[in-house]
Amino acid sequence: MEDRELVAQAQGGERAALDELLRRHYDRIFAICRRIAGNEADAADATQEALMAIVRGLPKFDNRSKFSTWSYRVATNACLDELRRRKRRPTPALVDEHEGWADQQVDDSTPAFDEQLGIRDELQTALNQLPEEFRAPVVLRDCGGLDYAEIAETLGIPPGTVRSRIARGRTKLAEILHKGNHPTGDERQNN
Amino acid sequence: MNPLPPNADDLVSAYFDAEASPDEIVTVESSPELMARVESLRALTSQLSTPAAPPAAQKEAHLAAALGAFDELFGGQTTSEPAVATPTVAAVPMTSAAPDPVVQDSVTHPPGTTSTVSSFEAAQSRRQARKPRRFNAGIIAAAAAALLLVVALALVGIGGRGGDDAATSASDGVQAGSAESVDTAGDSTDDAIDDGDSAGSASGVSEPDQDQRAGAPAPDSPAIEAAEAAPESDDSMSDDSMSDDSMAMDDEAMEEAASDEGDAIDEPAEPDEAQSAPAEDNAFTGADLYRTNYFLGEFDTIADLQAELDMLTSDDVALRLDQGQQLLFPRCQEAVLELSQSQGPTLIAAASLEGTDVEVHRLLGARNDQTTYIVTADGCELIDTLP
Repeated sequence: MEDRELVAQAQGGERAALDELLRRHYDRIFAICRRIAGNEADAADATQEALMAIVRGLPKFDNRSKFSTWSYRVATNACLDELRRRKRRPTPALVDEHEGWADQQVDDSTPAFDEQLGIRDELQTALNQLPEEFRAPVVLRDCGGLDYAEIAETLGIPPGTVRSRIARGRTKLAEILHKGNHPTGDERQNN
Repeated sequence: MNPLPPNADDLVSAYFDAEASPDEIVTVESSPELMARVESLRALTSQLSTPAAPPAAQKEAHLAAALGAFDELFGGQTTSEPAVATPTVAAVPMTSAAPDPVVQDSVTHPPGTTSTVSSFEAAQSRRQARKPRRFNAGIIAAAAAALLLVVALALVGIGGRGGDDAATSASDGVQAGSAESVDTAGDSTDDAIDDGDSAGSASGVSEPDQDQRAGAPAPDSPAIEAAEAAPESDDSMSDDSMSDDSMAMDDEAMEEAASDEGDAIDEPAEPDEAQSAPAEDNAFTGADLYRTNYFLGEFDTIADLQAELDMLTSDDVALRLDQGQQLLFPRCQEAVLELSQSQGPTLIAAASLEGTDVEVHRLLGARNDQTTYIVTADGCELIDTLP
């Protein structure tokens, strides 16, 4: 059964339809949250928030966009909200968005959150070094499959800015992965 | 070999995403080096696009919580299937989010414990059933005006004919016609409200159009749809009720009455209507909001209101804040301490929450974090804050 039919049934009160709909998209929603939030704990919170927002917003969803697109958009907003809440306290793996991201590095003396959890995800650790304004569009494009216009709408920025941020974000991501995720002290001094 | 263009990364990225212009496509495809970069990019993005598998227990807990919220929203379920795994919401780690009334309720009312079958349409109908109070006042006033007009015309007719029999006959006709007029007008109002509901129920959570992206008011936004629901009642009035041939009114009187009724509905806050329902207009100090795009609708719970607020795009919020500078109701912003410290406008919406008129203000923190304040329109008392 297609998403559209499930949405209609869920809007009519069919619990099983909503169950199927959410199961179908849960993994992708979680993946987006995981990539944007940067760690499992925040991703879990954001995913739950996203599911709640989807349920609350479902009555107003009118199928003019695909359910997947809409749900990823909701998930992204939930993740960004989660990030903003968490920014009120220090987060080792994230850089300060108000400083130049090109010369930001993770402090070697403080293990990244992922490392504390024993998670070895080089790509995620590299992503965590991108500021939110670059990370979110890259994740929405490459993980969520949204086009530039949809990303622009989701993030509230012009499509041209989306394009440049995705390009710069990808370039920087490749550089980080190429160098290795954990620069030495010498590298930081050079920066 | 041609040197790479300075914006090579941008070109390659846009080409890979199928967002490049025709000229850019030619540029990339004519350069082996750029095409090699495209392949490198493909390898990178394939890693990103591979979703990490979520923990199964977490997934089930999240889904159960969402379904619990769904049950709470509906008040029951229509399927005969048993509820999926029933870990309570409390089992799901929520380390930072503010307590959500929907979630909390779902803990106290596990899925499947209620038998009432409901639907979103029914819930919306119940919500909207209380909405037209302001329009009802206008309808009553219009119907009364129409009745007076009919009576006056009848009396003129009686004077012209001069006979007792004719007077009795005309009077009977007027009574029958006027009573029917009021009833029919009432029915058509309900129809008009239903029409408004239909429009509202299809409001745009979905893809915004180009105007929205450019920051223009969203034509399909819930707020605007709510505002647009009023004129529809005018059409409904003239089409449904006023074309009834059985009414004892001549065409001229009918047109005049219809015109009066239409005016009353189009301009619900005109002084003459305000006199007919002073309590309604004075109860909400920000009454002007009802005639603007700020009015979101009527909501039974804060969660419902929050869901509607969630649907506002950032552009929409920005537009509302900009417009707020030009409107006349900074009163609550001044009255609430946190809001008064804002350097800019904070009002983003008005609504009716559980029958109470409220203003919704949004305050941006120093680090771009947002807090939404819901305050009573009358008295500016803080009802709740939303993260």
